[in-house]
Amino acid sequence: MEAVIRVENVTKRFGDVVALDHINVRFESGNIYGIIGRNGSGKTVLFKTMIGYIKPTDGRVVVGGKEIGKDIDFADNMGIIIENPGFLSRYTGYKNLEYLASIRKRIGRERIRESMERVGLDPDSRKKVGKYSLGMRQRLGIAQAIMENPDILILDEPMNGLDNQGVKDVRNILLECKREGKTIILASHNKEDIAVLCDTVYEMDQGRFTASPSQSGKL
Amino acid sequence: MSESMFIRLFAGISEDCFGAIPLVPFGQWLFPVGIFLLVMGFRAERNKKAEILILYRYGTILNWWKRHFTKWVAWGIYTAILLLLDALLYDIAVGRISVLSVELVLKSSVLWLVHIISMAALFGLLELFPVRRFVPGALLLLEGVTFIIGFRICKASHAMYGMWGMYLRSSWWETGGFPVGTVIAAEIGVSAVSFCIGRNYLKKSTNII
Repeated sequence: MEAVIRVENVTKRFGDVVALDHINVRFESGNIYGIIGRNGSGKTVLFKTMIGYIKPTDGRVVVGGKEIGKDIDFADNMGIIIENPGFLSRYTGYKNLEYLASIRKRIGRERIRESMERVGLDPDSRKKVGKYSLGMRQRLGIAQAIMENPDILILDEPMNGLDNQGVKDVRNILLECKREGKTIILASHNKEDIAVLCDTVYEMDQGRFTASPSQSGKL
Repeated sequence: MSESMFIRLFAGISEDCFGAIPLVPFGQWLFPVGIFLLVMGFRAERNKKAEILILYRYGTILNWWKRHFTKWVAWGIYTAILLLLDALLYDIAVGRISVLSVELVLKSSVLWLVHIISMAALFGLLELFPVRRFVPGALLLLEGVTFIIGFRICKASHAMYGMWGMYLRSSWWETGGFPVGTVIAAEIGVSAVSFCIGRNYLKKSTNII
């Protein structure tokens, strides 16, 4: 199967610190990939490299046949959550998504409302994002990632701050996205999320994959 | 005339290049500049976290930079106009508006706005670099230090950035001063160069966020 994302021999150094050390990995469509590892192991740097926010010192990242940083700056079929999603705190959740959607101009109001409802948020709420709980922000983060129906989802700790119901909802959304043929790459500290959701799991430590990828349920 | 808040804050410092630096007028000039930089710094901090979800949606770094740079300049103009209006409203409220001529208000406002646009452009550029926390302080220092240099070294005063927003230091004022056309062109040049440096920096940058 043709890989949607190919990370080829990617190394990233920040001064003397090697954040990614000769990473080689392929991500295919219709799969959920888990990346686990302690803080500072290189997960977020790998994600940012795949998005195009960080350029590798060596190696290359190819998304949909196009090389990041050479053919394109950023992939145009991606939805992301990196770290705690930041929003414009003086706007409502709906206004934030409307603003983000206005950049690509691919979707209308109905799709934004639908995405918010899908993650359990009320699009008509007047509550400003600044007053949101961490869980509500995370739900809004998921909504912005899926609203434009991207082929690839890169999610760094998507369950962060969610209550049990929130975790359940997000798991269902991700499984639905998988059935739609999307490629989902997620980092999580929660082994249960990884076990329930992921087809393939990579463990990172000190910028490297520590062993061959394991299949779901073998953790 | 000097009792007008508008003149105190936006017309600049009229004293010649001799004697001690006029601290009160100098402070009055830096006051709105400081407020402007404070507001810009607050906006920068507030929007920074959201950029991670915004940037990649532009598809290319150049598209994002055009939008980002335009946003800074637009915020600059908006904030500068608000500050000008505040001073005028104050003068109206305390009955001092009659000391202001339309010509003085318009000319002072034009020079102030053009100066603030170039400062907003510099703000947008410097904010890209890892030193972003120091940007408001650095620009206030640039304004103050270049004024002092221009005040101390008369021959250099026309070339000093800290003088360029001041109507009372310009050729438009009765005692003469820096050539307005040249200075406006220079300020537009500062903005254009800021845009180009930012674009080239981002093209070469290895860590955008």
